[in-house]
Amino acid sequence: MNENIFGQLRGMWEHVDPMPEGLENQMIAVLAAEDLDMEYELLALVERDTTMAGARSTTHEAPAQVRTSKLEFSNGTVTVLLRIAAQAAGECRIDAWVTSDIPFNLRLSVRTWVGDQSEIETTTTGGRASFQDVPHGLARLWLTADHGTGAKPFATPLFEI
Amino acid sequence: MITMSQLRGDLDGSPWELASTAFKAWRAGERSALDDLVSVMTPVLWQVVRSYRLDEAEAVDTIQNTWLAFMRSHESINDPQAVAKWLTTSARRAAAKAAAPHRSTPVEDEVLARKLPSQRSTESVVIEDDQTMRLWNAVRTLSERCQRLLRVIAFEQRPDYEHLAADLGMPVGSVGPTRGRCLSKLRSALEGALG
Repeated sequence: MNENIFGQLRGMWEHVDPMPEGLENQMIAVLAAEDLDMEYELLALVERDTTMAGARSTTHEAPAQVRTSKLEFSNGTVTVLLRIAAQAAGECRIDAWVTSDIPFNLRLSVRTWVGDQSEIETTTTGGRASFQDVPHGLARLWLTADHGTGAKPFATPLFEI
Repeated sequence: MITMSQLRGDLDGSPWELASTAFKAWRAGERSALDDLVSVMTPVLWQVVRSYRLDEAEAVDTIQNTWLAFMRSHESINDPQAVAKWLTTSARRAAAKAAAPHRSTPVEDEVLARKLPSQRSTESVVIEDDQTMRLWNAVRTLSERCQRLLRVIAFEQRPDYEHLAADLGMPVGSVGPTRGRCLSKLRSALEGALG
């Protein structure tokens, strides 16, 4: 009986005073930065640029506006340039250019707005990599060098796709 | 990976169990399990913290500080089953401390105003969700102390009455009887509304 009334009270309070939307993602971002600990060096956001560009529409109507974002992260030695372009079906393509003396393996982790976690891994060839069909969400790029190079791994701050 | 349907499922399905599972996985090295733990417990912490009538910014700060404290002290949590309890207790204490300077600030109107979409009238919400409104109206007739006690008990995992008494400013041993009286008043208010 009491458990039943407490269940109803939980439902009622969640209804009349729900948590602000996105608060869990905000907390995840805070902890992710904390959790990077000493293992990864965090690159700083140097520049962000968002532009709208015309694109051919598949429905033969007026060209759709496609949003392209450019993000640049750096620590002075390693620089990562990301170009995020919308794809069909609500996904994105991300092109990455890494400026560094050594090749890095790149891993993109994305936590989508519905809470799924997806990870895409690739290796740079000549400092360039591409991620296709990336879902929208909060993302982070991880850069790790092969064992033996002794290079420190890096990570970008969380960024929104 | 815990699915969102599990997270969003009935709270009676125990977020505390999901929290323990995520915490164990995170300790075992699964990095994304921390996100699951945060997703499961942040809505619970919100409810616990708001029972102290903190405004939104204070509540968010308190929850964030609770998570940061957790990151610094999680190694002291010996029993993974107790992670939810550790989090809710820490959040409750921080909220009690933050609420101390302004215990009398009313929050109900703000809560309700924030909840009700601006384009709808109160009547339409009443009609849509009559049962919730009836319960909410009954809860609002209770004292602040009763409201807080019932809300904290509803969202905490097996609350420790001794510590709860201290945090709620009650004599030790009075939590059980007070809880009984608050529930009884709530039932009377609900019956009165129906009668």
